[in-house]
Amino acid sequence: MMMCKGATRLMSLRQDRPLTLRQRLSLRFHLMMCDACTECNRQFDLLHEAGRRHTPELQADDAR
Amino acid sequence: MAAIEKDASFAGRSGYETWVFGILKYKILDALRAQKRQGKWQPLEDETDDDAIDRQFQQNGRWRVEARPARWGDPEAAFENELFWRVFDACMIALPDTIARVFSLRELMGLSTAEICREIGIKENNCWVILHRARLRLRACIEQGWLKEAST
Repeated sequence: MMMCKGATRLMSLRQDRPLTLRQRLSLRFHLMMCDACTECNRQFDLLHEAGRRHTPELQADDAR
Repeated sequence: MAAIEKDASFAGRSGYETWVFGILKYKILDALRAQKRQGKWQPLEDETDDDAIDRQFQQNGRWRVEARPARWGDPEAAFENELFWRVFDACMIALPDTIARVFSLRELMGLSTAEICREIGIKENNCWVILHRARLRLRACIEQGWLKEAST
């Protein structure tokens, strides 16, 4: 059984590449039972969208 | 590299923004390559010993009670909230350098992990581990700084 930590690994991975069928199913199964991970999954989606909308002016400091 | 320039990820940005992003992208990639050349690159092949992540999970892999993700509400409301962006930037700056750079290339500049790894010369698995850490750190930091601040 996949635990929350492993589930967040898949949530992160799905922002970067399509999950395999097996990964998709095990993530979906975990999310059905876990409210905290469901929120985390939404937060990762939001971070992804925030990155897209971020403006380069603000970002300049981060190049370091 | 030319192929990356033509990447559709810049679609919708103004010419100026595309130009600034282009320069930043090279600066960040150079910094990462230099880091790797100097042997300062940790392999990061697995999930071992990252304090920031260990603080969020129990030994058995479940969330620690105090670290359980809370509801952030409507994303559009967050994006229109100036405090959200201030916290986002502060949390980006708080990330360790390598993690911040890889996250910037991936999420701010829209490069794929395959492109990032090819440019820096690291394994893609390495990128995924770094990005997982980046997202977990950012979500914890933003939740602290934004939700708790907003509710006071």
